[in-house]
Amino acid sequence: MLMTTPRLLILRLFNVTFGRIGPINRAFRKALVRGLIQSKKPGERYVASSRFFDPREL
Amino acid sequence: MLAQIAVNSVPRALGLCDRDKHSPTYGCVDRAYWNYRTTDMANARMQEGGLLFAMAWRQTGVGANMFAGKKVMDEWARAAWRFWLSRRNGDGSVNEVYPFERSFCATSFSAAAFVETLLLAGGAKEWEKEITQARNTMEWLCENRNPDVANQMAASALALKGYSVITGDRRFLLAAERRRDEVLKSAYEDGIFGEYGGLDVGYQTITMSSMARYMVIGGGDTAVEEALMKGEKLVNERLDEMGRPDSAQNSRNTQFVYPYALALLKSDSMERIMAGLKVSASLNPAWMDDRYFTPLAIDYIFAEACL
Repeated sequence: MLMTTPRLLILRLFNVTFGRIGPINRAFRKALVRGLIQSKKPGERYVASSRFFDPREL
Repeated sequence: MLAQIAVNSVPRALGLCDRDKHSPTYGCVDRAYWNYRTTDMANARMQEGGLLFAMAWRQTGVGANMFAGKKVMDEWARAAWRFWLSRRNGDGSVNEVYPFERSFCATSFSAAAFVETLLLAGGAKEWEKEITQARNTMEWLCENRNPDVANQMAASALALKGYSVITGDRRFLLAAERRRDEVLKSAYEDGIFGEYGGLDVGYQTITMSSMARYMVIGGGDTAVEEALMKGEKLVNERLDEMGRPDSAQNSRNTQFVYPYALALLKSDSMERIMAGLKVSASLNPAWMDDRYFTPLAIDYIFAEACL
């Protein structure tokens, strides 16, 4: 899921309000991991490659 | 040596680029956007990596260039420019820092790098679709300007000139000539291309590089050459024995030097610039951040061809 302007605005608004509170912050992070990663089947998960350059790609 | 330094930076640029063909952001060179997702938009200037990929592909004269002749470099260059084309605003302008910015700087420089890629990698025949798509970006550059900053005006002149050479469209040639006249008229008597009202040696060399490319692409231009010679004299006097400017004296405090125009004009300063690079005493692309190392590396490859 790419970052968009509305998502960024909502996230920042949360970060500087309720996100200041440790337990809420941690619960939010857990919910994100569950919703974006763990709930998806392995084949449905799209994770951007974090690979850097490898000469074997040439 | 200049091209070798530039080619050594290509793996870094490739590492910033999404090279997964199945990815929705294939070709994006802004890793903060496509991989880390810390920003809500990609910086259009990062797509200038497309020109660096094309240059590394075509650069056969460098001692150790693993990219020379590798077709995949052309594919990645094309992917970078297709991403750039897909992320423009409706009016053809692009964004660098925030959505709907319509950055004159980013539109000018990325459009100039786009046309340089086309000129290098096959021109109109090979990139017909992309050339047509880019038309409204060139139209936007015809209508918009930033006379306070000479380097951006020069880059826009180069973009328009290159596009007119590729398409043969007289409208863009006339717009390029008007923009060139503005840049030359704005130059001070002693050769300074103004940067927010003063001299900045680093940006002076960026302006000179764009105007030198303008001149070369067009097959010569006496007025531009005269302005460049004045500018060269000024830069030459302000570089130390290692080819470094005094950043504190620059209107924008820059430390870098773009060497292409200096190399083209056979400036005495090139000897000092090379001496500084040889002993790692001066700023080179590897020392710069992700946002700015690519344009300098590109300039190094252009400069190498003149030595």
